[in-house]
Amino acid sequence: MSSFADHARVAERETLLALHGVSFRYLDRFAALDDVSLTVERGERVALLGANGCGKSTLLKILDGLVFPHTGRYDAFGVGVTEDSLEDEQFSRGFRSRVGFVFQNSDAQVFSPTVREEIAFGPLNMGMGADEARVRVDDVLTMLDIVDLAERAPYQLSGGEKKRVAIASVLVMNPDVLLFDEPTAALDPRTQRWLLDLVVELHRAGKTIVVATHDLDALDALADRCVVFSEDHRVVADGDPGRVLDDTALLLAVNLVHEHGHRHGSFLHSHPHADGHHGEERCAASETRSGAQSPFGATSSTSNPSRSSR
Amino acid sequence: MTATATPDWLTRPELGLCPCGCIGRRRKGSFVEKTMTGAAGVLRAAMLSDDTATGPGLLQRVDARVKVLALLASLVTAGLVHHVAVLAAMYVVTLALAVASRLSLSFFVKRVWLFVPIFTGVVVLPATLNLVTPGHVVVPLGTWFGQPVGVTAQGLTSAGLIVTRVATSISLVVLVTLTTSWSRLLAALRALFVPRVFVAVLGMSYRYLFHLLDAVTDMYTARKARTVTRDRDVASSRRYVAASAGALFGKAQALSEEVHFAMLARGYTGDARTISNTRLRVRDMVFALAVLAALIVTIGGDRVLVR
Repeated sequence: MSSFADHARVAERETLLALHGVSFRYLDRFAALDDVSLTVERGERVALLGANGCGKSTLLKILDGLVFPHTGRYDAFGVGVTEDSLEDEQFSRGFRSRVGFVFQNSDAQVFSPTVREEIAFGPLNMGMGADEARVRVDDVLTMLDIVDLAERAPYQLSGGEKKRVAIASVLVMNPDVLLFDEPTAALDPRTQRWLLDLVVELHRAGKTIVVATHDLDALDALADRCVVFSEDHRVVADGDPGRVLDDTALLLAVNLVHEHGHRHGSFLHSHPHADGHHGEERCAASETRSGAQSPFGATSSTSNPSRSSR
Repeated sequence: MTATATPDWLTRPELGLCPCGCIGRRRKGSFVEKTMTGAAGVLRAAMLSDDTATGPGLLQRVDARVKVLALLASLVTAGLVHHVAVLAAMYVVTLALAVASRLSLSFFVKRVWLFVPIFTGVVVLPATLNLVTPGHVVVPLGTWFGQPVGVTAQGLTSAGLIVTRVATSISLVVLVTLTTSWSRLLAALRALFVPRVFVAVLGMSYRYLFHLLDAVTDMYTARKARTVTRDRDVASSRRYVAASAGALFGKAQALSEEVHFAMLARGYTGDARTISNTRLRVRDMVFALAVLAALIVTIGGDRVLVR
């Protein structure tokens, strides 16, 4: 692409969400985020990568205006998001309808007596008329292929069905930005595939997607930009998935991959490993005679685990 | 990441069955186990109730609002009736409605009569004695401080009236709950001007009751899976129950915070809004009129019999 075209594309960019030097602590003691700055442009697919407890979920809660930074500033659609600004009914309604959040725990998100009422909850609270809400609910039920579940109670649903209902309850509000917290966690492979396809489809429809995950295998479908968090709750990398996943030292440092050792006959060897998949195995890199006390070697190779596993 | 050394004991098999093939002593379940079984039973009963509520019977086809109003009117009528025969007739009608709604008659009868003797029988039993209700003694029981003690005809009539009234009232309530799904029952309450926040809290409490019952069952199953010897110490069971209750309280609090976030995220500002109900159909009107007529006849018949 020419530099002119690049420039034109950049000029078209619109920053939807912007965090400036945001820090957050639980109970004023336990740090969850430390001086995080980040912008999300319209139409982007951003993956927040990091090990458990690095602050991804907290960041999503801040982006959704559910908790507020102790220091720093958060702007959405050019307006500061604070407890005070969300008390403004007009701003609150506009913000809530434009940013949707799919929680990791679907049980927390599916709280109404029936699926139909659950999906209608958002539109009705946004002030939509009952008739229009009913039409939207029917459309979303059809879109996500859950018409059969409409009158069911949440406790009668499987994990995958609850996830679909949770997504439907957010999609029905037609948000510009969709926040997903560990969307593929605890789902069977078929439902995971369905969800990844849905994210691709929503992105094609112009939605901005922000996903907190440590599922490196799903990155291709989920993101065209990765923001990596270290275990001390700071942003340590921000770039396209290819570049981030090729940086094995970075992934090892933030605990997204680990050294894996296994046996080939009488030999043991080790290489970086992520999510149950072997990387490009370079047995020559580090081989150890069988009989060593620990089966897990400590040496590392430079092969990339995730890229080669797909 | 640091290397992990496998301890020697992890590579050795543990002693399993006794090598001599003897069989150990059997043990009965503790009170904790019985409570857990009861919790699982509650879940199953609720599932069954939802199944019957969507069945093809008579009352399942009637609008929930009409059923709730008919229930209230019937309960008031049962409270106003003074004659055992009239109450018995009402009870027979509830049985007929249960059959018409394709409910298992034995299940329906058991569900009602399991509680009546416990909660009502114990209360009314003393009222049958001449010490409480003076009258003609039909069953002499002996003497107390020189006075003859026995069951009186008047006492039996009063007890019969109360027991029949309670049985009929419980039958009516069970009939409606077994033929109406929980969600429709809540929608009916909203339509009948019960405060929306109250109905919303009721609905969410019921929904998360299942979730927390699941959590309790999981905790107990995890403990049971690691319990290999008989727990003779009741105190340790009590400690386990207390610890579980504490853990459950923590879980419930975390869950409630998440649910609140999920509600806020979708624009909740304190006013619970729901999709409005469907319109009443002709058959609902016919049912309502039939119930009204039956109740008028019941009260009229009772007045005639009392005279």
